[in-house]
Amino acid sequence: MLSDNAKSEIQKLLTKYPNPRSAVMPALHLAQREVGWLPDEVIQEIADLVGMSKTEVNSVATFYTMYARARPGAHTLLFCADLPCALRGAEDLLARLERKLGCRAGETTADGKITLHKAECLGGCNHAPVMLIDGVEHVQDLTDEKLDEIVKRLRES
Amino acid sequence: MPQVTIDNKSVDVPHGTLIVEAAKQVGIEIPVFCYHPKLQPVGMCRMCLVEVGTPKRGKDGQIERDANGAPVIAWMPKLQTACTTVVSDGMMVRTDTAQVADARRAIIEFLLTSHPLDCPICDKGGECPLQNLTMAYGPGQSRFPVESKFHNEKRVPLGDLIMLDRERCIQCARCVRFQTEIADDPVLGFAARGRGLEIVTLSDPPFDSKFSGNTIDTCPVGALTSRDFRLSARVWEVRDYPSVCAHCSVGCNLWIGERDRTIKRIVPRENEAVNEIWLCDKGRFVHHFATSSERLTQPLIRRNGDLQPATWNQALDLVATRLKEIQQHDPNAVGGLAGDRASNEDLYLFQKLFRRVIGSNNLDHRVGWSAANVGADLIRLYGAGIGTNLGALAHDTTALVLGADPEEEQPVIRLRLARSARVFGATLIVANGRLTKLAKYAKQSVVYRYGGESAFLLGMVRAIIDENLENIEFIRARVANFDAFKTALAPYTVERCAELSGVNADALRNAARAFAKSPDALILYGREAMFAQQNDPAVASGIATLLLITGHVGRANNGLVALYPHNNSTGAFDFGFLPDHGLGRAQVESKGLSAREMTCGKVRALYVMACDPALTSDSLVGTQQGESVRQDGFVKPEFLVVQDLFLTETAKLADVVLPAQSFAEREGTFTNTERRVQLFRAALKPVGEAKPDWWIVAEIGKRLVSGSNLKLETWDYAHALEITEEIAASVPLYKGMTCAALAENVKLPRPRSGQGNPSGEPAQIAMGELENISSGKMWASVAESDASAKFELVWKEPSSQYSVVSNQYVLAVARSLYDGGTLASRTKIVQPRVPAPYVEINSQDAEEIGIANGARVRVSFDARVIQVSARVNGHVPPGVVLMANNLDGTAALPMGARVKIEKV
Repeated sequence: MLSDNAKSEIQKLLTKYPNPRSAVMPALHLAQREVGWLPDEVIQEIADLVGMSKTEVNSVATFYTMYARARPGAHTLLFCADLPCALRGAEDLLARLERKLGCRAGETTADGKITLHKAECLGGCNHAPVMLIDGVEHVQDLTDEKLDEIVKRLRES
Repeated sequence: MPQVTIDNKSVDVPHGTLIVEAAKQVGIEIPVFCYHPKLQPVGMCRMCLVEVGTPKRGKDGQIERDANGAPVIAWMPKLQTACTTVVSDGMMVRTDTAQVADARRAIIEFLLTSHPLDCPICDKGGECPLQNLTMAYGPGQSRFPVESKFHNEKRVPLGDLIMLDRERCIQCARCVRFQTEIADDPVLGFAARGRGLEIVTLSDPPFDSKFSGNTIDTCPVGALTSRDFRLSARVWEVRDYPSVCAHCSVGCNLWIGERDRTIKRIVPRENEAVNEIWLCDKGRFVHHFATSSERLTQPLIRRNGDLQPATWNQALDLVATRLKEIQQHDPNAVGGLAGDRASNEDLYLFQKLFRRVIGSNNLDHRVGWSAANVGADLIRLYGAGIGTNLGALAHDTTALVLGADPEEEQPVIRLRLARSARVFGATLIVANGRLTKLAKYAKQSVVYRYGGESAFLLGMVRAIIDENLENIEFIRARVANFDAFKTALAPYTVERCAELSGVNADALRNAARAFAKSPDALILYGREAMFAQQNDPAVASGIATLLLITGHVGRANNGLVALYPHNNSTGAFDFGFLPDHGLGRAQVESKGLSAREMTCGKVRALYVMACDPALTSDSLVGTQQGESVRQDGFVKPEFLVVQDLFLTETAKLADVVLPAQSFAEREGTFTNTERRVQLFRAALKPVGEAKPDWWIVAEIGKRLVSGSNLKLETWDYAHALEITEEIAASVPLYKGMTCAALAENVKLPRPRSGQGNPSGEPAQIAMGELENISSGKMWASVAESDASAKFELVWKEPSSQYSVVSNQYVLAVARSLYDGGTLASRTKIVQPRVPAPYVEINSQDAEEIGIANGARVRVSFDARVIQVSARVNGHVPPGVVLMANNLDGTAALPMGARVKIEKV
């Protein structure tokens, strides 16, 4: 499943550590960048490359929340659930967003378009509540209307 | 040695001791969940929190003292984990304070927040550390309401043998750590974290390990339970009887848990010298044969062509009459085959019947085993010294493992050798014609060309002599013929041996140096080397020479261990079940007939005990000069008696069938592969009218001697242990091995690796001793028992016969732990573990043939064609293919035959 290019990148990573097993995390990141998430085949490929068992690689990939073991939607929303946002009504907004999407935080919409995650501080407390779309678009001072707009846009894209 | 004071009790302990272990030495039990003496400490469960203080030091570095001159103790501000904290000199520990009691109570309450508390329906109930420690240290009541408990799946199968209850798991990782650190099959792992954490296995098949059953024992709660034992009895209703495993030759000590006249479960019985606290899954789960409905329950006599029920007297009288008739005509027309599963008592009486009453030396045990005399003399002369502990070989010990695959054949020995290498720093040199799992732990892994074993050994010998590493003192005192040997060796340079064996010359020299320079060194040789020895006598002489010129014989952790296939193979050698050897491995003048000869019609009467030659007669095939020698099926003699648990293929042909008892129904002794004689006790009532093998033999003996001038009373035995006493009194190798001596309680140290040893070498520190255990007794080899014995070096030309021919491959034959054997095939729960027939082939060769992993291929040799699936990997070198014997359609594979492989 991994491209030859990704495999050779991982081979290079192995040489950077005294024990090749140590390369498992950067290798997972690399694979996730390429494939978008970490399906079983990729876990097996990485296990073979770094010399660990599939079960062990899975332990690492499930311990850290930024590795995706489930296929994500076309778009990923990270919704800040930290204190400053909560003080500005984020909890209520998140509940509304979940209703709009028809899925809970941590899940993907039935049409496979949008995955919603709770996140810790996204670095925009002065404009709380905030949300990060697809890792690049930082939306601030969220309101119910803004959420409607975003959901509509993403669904149509 | 640092001195530590725990609850006002002082004790000196070795450097590197953990507080929890030091406490045990003064009789203080610190409660633990995640800590396990065999595993590395992790400090995950926090149950072992204690108060720790160290002497306060002033600015001058001196210990500060109070008015009374006692050191001022600086108590650490928080509680410390006793399982990860290493003691230091002057350390003070308090385990009996209110603060510690509080902490324990809090941890238990915390562990129980979502525990289902379903002890009444939990298999672990009654032997559960969580239950026990809750009673001892828990709060008695929870502040968390029952409704707030998280619920998880309660029946998650982890493979065919183990069931996981996620609610009961306390996340201690003992199972995960066992699989990683001890079994080295890291197929169990955590997934996710926090409350959502669960134990998962992603291997294919799930929980793919030969040691999975041990996680049931190490689990401190009821999370992992046996799918075999599950919900079938409460543990306090099960009665445990001490026994010894009836499968491979390791001789693991175990408890048979009996209830309602059946075996409910088998659990390991601790013996630090043999199996520590482990069992492989075959030993633990393959016991259903003993209570199988297919067991023979009464004697059978062939009447009008059919086997029909008879009384014992009818059957025994018939056997005695017919044997007597044929014996009076010609004693050598009577032959005896006994399986190496029978106990020493059975074997002893069986040979006594033949040698003393019938007057025939036609005795053999090698059914389904190669035709060579594999190691009878080598082991008698150079067997590993008494006290050898394969699981605690130290950093100054080198073990050469030759032509063996203990992972499949003696699993617990693989576990223990890996421990010696990984934990205690012993040097392993693993040499075989292919890569086995053990090679992973080897400091030096050597892959020779099959057939090049003797050249490999000779190359090591030559390298030792070239570099003057031989033990001159030992050679002068004990070894004859050294100079003549050297002369004969002259043309065999290390380079030439390297070429003959297919091993790099430097690898040969490195192995030679490690072996010769090591203060202690031993050789373990397995089935593949024994098969090689059958064609090439230079293998045996090579092994002997290597041991003799380095002087590595006659002491603990030195000498030779033969890794035999069955639980009492060593006993079969000891009692002379070989055509050319008698009682006590003595060579005999008048050679008897071999198993092969007896089964192809050379005897008129054949008495078969505990083996099935008709099933495996095809496997009485060997190879000579690379050509396989085969024998057509079993020829039924004029009179055939079979004594077994089941109506085996041979029994179906028999004139009289006698039902024998399984190891679980009777007592006796087995001799394991290290020559350790161990007692086992009866756990079950006999099935039907089945009788112990020794009783049947004795009854036949009585009938044969009545009316003759041989004394009758020598055949009167009330129970098996009377025979054990007779063996101890009359067989020199077993001298003094009376029941009392075998059951004698000894103290065995439990070594553990030391941490922070100043010398940097792994140290073995005692974690207290294991008391009141009998570890069996090893008989002494000649090198050990007779300090004046001289040994002669024997020169044999090395050979290298399996040269590679194009389009043909050398067939290497392995054994699979689970196969189609008489016992394993009658245990349903392990059937999914029996592999489908396969052939392992090197990826380079696979590419040439044009096959991928999993492809169907046709393997042909002689007149046989077998279709199997291919496993493409790097474990076998190019030119060699590997198949496992005794799977569906792969019985009787000839080791070393040349085979053709074609794509289907």
